[in-house]
Amino acid sequence: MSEYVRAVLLGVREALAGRLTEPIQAVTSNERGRGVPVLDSEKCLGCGLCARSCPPAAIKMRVSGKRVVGGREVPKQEPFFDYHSCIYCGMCADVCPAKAIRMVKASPLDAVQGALPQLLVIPLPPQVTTFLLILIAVALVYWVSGRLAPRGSHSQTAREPFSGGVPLTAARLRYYAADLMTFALFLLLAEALCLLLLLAGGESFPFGVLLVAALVIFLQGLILLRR
Amino acid sequence: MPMLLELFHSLVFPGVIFTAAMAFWFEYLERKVTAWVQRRVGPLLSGPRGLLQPLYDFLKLLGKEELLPRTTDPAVLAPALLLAVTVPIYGMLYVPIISTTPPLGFEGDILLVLLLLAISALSISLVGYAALSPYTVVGVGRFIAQYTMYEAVFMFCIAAAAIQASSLSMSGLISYQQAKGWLVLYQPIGFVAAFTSLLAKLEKKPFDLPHAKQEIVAGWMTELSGRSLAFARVYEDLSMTWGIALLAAIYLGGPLGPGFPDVSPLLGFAWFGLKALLLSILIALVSAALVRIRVYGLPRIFWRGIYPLVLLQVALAWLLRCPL
Repeated sequence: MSEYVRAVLLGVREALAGRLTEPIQAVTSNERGRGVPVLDSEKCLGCGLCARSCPPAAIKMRVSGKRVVGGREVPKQEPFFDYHSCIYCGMCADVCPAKAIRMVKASPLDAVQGALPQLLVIPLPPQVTTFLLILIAVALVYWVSGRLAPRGSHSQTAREPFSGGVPLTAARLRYYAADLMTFALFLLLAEALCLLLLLAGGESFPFGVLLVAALVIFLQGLILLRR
Repeated sequence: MPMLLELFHSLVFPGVIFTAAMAFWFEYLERKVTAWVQRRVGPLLSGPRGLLQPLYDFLKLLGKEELLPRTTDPAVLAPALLLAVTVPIYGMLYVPIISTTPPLGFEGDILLVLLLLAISALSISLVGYAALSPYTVVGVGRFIAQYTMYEAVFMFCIAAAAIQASSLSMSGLISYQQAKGWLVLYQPIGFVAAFTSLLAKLEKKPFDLPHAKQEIVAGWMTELSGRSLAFARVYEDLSMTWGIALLAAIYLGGPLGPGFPDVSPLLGFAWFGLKALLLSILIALVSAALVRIRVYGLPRIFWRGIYPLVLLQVALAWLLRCPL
């Protein structure tokens, strides 16, 4: 029991003792922070040593262009830093034979903030933005009218469905419609055929085959109806 | 600037405001024509000649209390309703209205239109299943059965048009019709089949099985009230607008007409409006004059009657196809 009490007291003392975390400015102002790895792609040989020596494997080698080796063109690789996984140890700069990686004095937050907008500002095509704009406008009307509409107090009977009740099996049957699946299957076949017809509209051979397939589906449907 | 243009396209023209205005206008026309067929006066008092009645109905439903039954799945209901209303408005961006190219058109947008038709049906089935009661279950079941019937026909009609024009884009269809004349002249069977399946898609009178009033109360929208009911109803009008616009663009040449590209794009808008007006009056007349078919009549009409004709139309379109 006394150990628990001691541990709790230790925790309280530590909690009151102050913070060891460096303020964010100190990382760049003093010499303790190693900085952020930045590539000079002019000097880079593409050897991949940095990627192999990276402790959290935050460096990926990617093909960035061509270079000439012994009269032949071979793809040139370059390291790509994932600043979200980087631990800013500076190992890559140490091993780089060409001194192409420098540790620039900046806080890791700067590097990460530099990485964030690239994720957020993906240029959306106008087809998507207009859809979202319309959806937002419609949702706004829905929400505002919901706030403005009066709310009365009702007995439990008011919340009964219009039919006066629901059979016990209804909840099970909610998203289940067995007989409809046959029709849905035919619809899917017809839709797939229709798309193929549209895509193969130019050539004559696939068109004939697809049309015959559509006829077969139609006859199947007729047999189904007869039953 | 492109962001501003997208905002304008999605919210003003041909997006939310324009499509909603067209939807209320078509609902007004339908109610008026139906009333005339039944020798009533129809909407009369709100606005000039009752023109604002659909808008008033929508606003009134929005302002009423939403009372969902205890079997409702609200996590499904709201997204499905929002999706159902969004899809037809979004689909209007792929219909050429004042120019030969739609605002968001790209090569292959016909395939996207087919996908949007399927998503629209999916969201409606989810709306029905989200508010569970025997009526909604039967309504959604009928809706899915009907969907499988008309969707194949509608897809093959669009495919026939695309095959004849040798193009997978709306602008390609329009430029083909600009050069060779309207597609309805070449594909009358396809037009009639597409019109019939549009009636089934919009759940208009001969095919209003999914919300047959005298049989299953209101089908998949039985349990909705307040804003949900408003959205479900405005979905039907928006869907009608989109379907009519698709038909007008694919078979009737969209904005094409005497003096369209040369004089003014507004003239193209006028031609488009005229064609859409005639189509909507035709739909209203047919649905007011006919009675509901039985459930068993549905496959008899679509699968046995229309489907082979549509296949014939596809083969004919392939023979008629002539690259520009």
